[in-house]
Amino acid sequence: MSVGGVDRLPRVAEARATDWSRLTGRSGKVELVFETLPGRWVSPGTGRIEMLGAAGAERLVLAAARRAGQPVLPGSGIKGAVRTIFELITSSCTPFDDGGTCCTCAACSLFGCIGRGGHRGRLGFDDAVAGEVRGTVELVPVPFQPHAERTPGDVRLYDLRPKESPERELAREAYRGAFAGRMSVDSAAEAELGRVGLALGLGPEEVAFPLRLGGVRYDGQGAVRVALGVGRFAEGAVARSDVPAEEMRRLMSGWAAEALQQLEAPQRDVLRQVAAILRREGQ
Amino acid sequence: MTSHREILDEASRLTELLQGVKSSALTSLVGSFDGDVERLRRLLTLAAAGDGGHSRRGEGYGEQVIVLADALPKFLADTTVPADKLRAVFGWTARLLRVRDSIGTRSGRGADDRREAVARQRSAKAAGVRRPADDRQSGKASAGDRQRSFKTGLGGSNLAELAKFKRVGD
Repeated sequence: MSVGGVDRLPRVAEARATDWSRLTGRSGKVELVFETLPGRWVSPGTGRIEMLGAAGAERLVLAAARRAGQPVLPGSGIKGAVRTIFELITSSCTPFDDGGTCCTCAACSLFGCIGRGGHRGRLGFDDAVAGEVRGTVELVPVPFQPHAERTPGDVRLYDLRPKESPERELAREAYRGAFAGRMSVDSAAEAELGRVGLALGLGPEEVAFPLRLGGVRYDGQGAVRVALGVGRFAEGAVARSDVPAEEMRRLMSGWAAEALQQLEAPQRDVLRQVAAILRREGQ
Repeated sequence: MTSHREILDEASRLTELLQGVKSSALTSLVGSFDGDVERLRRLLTLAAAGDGGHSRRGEGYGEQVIVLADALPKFLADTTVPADKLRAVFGWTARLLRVRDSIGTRSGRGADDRREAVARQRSAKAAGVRRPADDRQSGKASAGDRQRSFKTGLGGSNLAELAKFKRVGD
């Protein structure tokens, strides 16, 4: 289903590469917590098959990401998931489809871009490390190949319902629980942070949703709730100011609400549809 | 002491044994190898038996797992390279497979080689080795349209860059 009118909207030209000598807007870090929804799990894939279990009772599973032996949600995956929604609601380019020719749209300006004139962007996410996390082995439907080359420019989103009657299943390592991460920003306008908040699913009730991370999204898994913690922002060249978690959540709530109002009507429509899909359960 | 030449020779020999196998499939099985050959042998035994369902994945991946589960134990039994150097052999083999795959893509032989290798391996198995076990099946009922696709703002036709980053099995 395509949303009419979206591809006729002008790009938002915010071509601002990082200028470390002149920080503007908000620069700093915000703590994040990613928690799996009740009864659900997340499985950031590695493409590797490993043996889990005691000697003599091992099982072959698709291994989930670890760092120093501990469960982790890779920051690259978090950034990709957030950027996908951000691109949809800001009429930004699709980097792989455009072959890296754009570096001036809202998404490229904030998240970075490849190709000529490329830069690393002004927003990043650290790996989210395990807090209270339990590892499990789940049987998941065999992944299908989306063949993106057949549907250029399309984005595939999944609701929370499991895949219908899978014919084959394979064993995959998964995690249930909470992970602690961090978002870093450089010279980000509050309007940009508001749009990031919307893409994190932290907008007003009508457009709130659980972020989807890791593999097996096609089976309704990977849903995590994002919560903000303490913020620490630069005040000039040296000083820092801490924003308590509750205040940080209040600030983001305000930025996201304002950003929602600033979106064009078709973009707001897209966000509502995205939220409706990502949180749909049952029939 | 194992020379670099010996490592390359063994990698070349292993590459010949892995007809129709892609670099990514090899890496998926030996990527976590840490020198424990017996653990790798147990992993390959489980893979050959179909444990976890990985040998039944589609898009040719399952066939590659079957070939790897058959060829790697034979290689491990014959190789003179010590365990602590096997990672280097696997690394060079992955590189050689990637090169061969790029040549095969141009000649269109990759999938054919894989099917022929699996057919040879299966006919050898039919001579007396046990067949892969079946994992239990579980059905999950749901109904209705589950997904939506959205056109993004601009679209485009250059997917060459995307093809470089796409992975099987995410």
